[in-house]
Amino acid sequence: MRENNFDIVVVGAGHAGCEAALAAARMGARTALLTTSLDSIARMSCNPAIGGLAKGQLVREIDALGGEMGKVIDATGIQFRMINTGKGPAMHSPRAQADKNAYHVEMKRRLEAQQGLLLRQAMVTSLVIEQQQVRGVRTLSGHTYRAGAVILTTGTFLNGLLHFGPATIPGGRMGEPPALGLSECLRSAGLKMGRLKTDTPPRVNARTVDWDATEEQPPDPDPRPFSFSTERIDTEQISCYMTHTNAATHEIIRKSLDRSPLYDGQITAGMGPRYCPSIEIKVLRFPEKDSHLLFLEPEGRNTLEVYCNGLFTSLPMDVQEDMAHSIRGLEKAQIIRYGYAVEYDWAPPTQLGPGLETKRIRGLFHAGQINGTSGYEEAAAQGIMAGINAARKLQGKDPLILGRDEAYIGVLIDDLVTRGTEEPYRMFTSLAEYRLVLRQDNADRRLMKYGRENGLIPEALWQKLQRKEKAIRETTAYIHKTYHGGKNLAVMLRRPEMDFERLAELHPRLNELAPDGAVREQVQIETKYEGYLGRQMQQIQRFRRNEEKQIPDWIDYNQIPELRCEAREKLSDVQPVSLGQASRISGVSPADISVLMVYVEGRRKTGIRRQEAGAEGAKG
Amino acid sequence: MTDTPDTILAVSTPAGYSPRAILRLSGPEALACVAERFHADGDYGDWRRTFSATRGRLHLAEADAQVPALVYVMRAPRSYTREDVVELHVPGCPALLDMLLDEFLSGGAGALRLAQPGEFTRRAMLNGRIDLAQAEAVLALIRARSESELAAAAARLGGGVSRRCAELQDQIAELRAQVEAALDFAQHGIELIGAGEVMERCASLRRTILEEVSAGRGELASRGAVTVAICGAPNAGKSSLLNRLAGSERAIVHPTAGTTRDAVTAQLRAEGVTFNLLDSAGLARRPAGPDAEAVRRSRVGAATSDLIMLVIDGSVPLPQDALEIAEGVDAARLLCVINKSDLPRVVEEEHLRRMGLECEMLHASALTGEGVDRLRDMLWRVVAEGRLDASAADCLFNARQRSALGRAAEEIEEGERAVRDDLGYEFAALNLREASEALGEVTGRVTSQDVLDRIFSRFCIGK
Repeated sequence: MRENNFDIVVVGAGHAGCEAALAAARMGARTALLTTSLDSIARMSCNPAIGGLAKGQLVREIDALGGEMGKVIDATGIQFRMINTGKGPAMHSPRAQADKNAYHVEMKRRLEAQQGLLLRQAMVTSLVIEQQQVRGVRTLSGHTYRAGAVILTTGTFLNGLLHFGPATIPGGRMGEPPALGLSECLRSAGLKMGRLKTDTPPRVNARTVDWDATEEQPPDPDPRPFSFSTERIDTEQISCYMTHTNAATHEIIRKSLDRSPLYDGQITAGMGPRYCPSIEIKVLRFPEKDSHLLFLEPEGRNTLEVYCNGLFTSLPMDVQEDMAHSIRGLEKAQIIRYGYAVEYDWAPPTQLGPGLETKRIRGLFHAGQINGTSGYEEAAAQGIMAGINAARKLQGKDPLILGRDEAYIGVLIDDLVTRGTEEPYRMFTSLAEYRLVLRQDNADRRLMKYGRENGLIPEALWQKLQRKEKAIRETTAYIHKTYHGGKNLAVMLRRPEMDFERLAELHPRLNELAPDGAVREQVQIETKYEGYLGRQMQQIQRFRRNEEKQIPDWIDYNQIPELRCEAREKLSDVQPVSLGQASRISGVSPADISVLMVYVEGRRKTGIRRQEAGAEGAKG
Repeated sequence: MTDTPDTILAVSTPAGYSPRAILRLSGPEALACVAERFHADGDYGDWRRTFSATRGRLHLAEADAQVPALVYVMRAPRSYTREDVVELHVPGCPALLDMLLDEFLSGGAGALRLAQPGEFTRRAMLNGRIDLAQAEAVLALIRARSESELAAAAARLGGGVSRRCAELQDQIAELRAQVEAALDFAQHGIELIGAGEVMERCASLRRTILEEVSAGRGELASRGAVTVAICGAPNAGKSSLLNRLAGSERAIVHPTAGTTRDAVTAQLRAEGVTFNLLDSAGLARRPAGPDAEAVRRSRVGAATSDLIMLVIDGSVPLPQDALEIAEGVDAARLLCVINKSDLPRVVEEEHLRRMGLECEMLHASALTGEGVDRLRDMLWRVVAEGRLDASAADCLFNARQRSALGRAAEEIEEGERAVRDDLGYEFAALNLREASEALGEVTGRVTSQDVLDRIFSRFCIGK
């Protein structure tokens, strides 16, 4: 028998789609996850790694909310490193090299095992929309899946086009067909669509690399897991390697620039992301540098495929050969897959509310690259939020909106829906105003409560967090009131050369109070950086004042002549939910915010007064 | 309201010289802030009582000086803002007000800050002191105030302290970009800024800022108002125009005898800028000899003033030498009023343009008042748009700028310390962001996106 009716249909099983479908199903929504190829679930189309600066924080947050990404990489990763350990705790970021195929298999198995989730290979070609409300999707085979909410996580597949030098092939990823029809459907429903592009590098055969000519980057001796529910990483860890481009490489690139699809207008989507430029753009923009760093990263444990991180390119294949062979260690390397650029449709995210639902079509949610982001972690973060919020919507609840002061996820989504983006958006720590408190080490303390509220956190994990919090409280109180040799323990811990381990050696009672490393870490960070963290908390309080001032949805900005024209337009466009969000829209000035504040408060007060008068009238 | 609002402070009388100026404080700390500095004269009882007016002295710590003041107290909720409000009535001298603002803003770790445009009224509104109809009137007020401040802020970028503020903002942004690049892109194999250099640049920034603060103070002391010389033929209607201008603003006309060359014959205030209007006719009437001598004297008056307002009788054909006074005067400093627009028009703007006059012109009538409001706006715009040397406009914003600069300097110092203590760049980055935010109040905000743009344009990012 054919199932036709669902609560939620998720289109696309990439990193966003998997999180969205799992969250929705776990929240009790009857969910269908449709993908054009079951063999491409949670595919890592680009680099074989999860995490890194700011991205690692995102994965920890996804995990604290009850997401899957951290657990899957913990189960399949081949090299775990905590990067930036030389810096303060806010900069520590977990990163892992992934076994691409193992990651895919593990995620697929978890989807298959999920109760209440239908996983199916099907190509969605259009949406069913009735009166500005999404009602379901139609597939290429003519089948209709009805649903109360639809989450689009189409990645690079919407009208995808692959570029290899002057040659182009329609496709969403190498070897896979593009998704046709959906873009046109969104456009005719009134959504604005745009075009973005991103590059991939060539992959080489490890057997043909001269490893002795490269520099080894070993794994951490003590790998730390991403997930708060993973006890430890037991799998064998392997190394990555580094090499560099050189003057000869750059010369080869310069000579072939006329054959790059970027320069003859073949790619219409612009230059691609600035933080992840193709090697040809790097050579062009920084002519004074005659060498760029490259990382050679294994794509998995059971393959000899090696990813040339840093060699992103859409130059023709013969140029890629010459380029690779000019690089130390790669002189005889065989390219297994050539690099290419992919161009695809996206829907500018200022068309979304902060719950990731489109403002124009009720029940339609967007997550991942369709919103103009890049990165598996950014996609997964939006995916879990879209899944949670689609399910909440069907439960009649308000969306879960994380603040910029609560999570990188909050910064990410707020940036997207408030300011939009012009190039694929990537998370950076500098985008988070409150990064000193948004640390990877405290993601559970910040966010697990939301995961639990939505039924995504098992009771045992929640209890573990409660015990951790209790131990942190007690240990912190203890060191603040206890003296050792006439010196206060907290004051001692604050000294630069002191850490909790050493303090516990001097004062063994601490070992009983805080046997758990995670507790020690929290106490140490909060004590050592008390001043700065306190200041950041004050900033957060100031910030929250405007975040909590809601802008009612009946507001019509065109009725406020005192707003400047540009502000009226931008505000109407974004429809901010709070004065805080309004103040972050580019083109809205502090004076506009003052005007808005007075207007809203004025209206609200009379509104209340009018209601009261009405109530009294009814009594009379 | 659930907020615990900051205590705010502003000069609520127009800038410039006046018999009395009012400094107004509102918020929970208003009384405490005044109490730290106020000593009541004689036996007035408790000056903190609501609706009391107490004479006394304000102590300025830095100058170690006493300023006579009258203190009015209105306790919450029976005040304009429904918060504790204290008004300090002091002699209306810009330099003194400036010192007072400094005094109040420097003390007590951020307890007090300068009010934003319309903030007193906004608080009144939010706290239910005024109703919706009144509130809607306030919207227009905020808009007007902030527009005039914005215009002036933009003008300030043309010169003086303000341009240097913008330069400082730029330098901070540059340092932020370097520090952020070292944080976010350390893995990308780019050249990272060293701790020594961060400290050095922090120290240099801080020094420059402190220099600006003292430089700004000197500038203010020397400038209080914009002088406008009104020139023209004896029967062009200069005096009546002057009276009309002054009257339209209800400014106090000082009937000072025209005995000295720089005689202030009237004062006009527009949007916080004070204009001293010099009637050069008064000079011409002095029994000093023939017309030629009068014109020469007018020239001297014109040369020493900031602005020249050339008044022409538009109802009669132009005399030969009508534009002589304007010769060699920068068009930016010149305004031309074609007076007597109530009579049939003989002189048109294009006549004057053909004769080589390039300045702004308008038709007005001193008799009926027609065009006088536009003239007043024109005068103010010349200042706000920075067509003068902009230092006069600076006076308006001096206190805000200095308070911003002061906070920026503190933040940068703390950032420097964080690096010295080997705390990691992310802490210094926090301070630099705050410094940037502080300056943002006078120069415009620098967003994280702006900082990223700098990083991408400077460094070769991407591994």
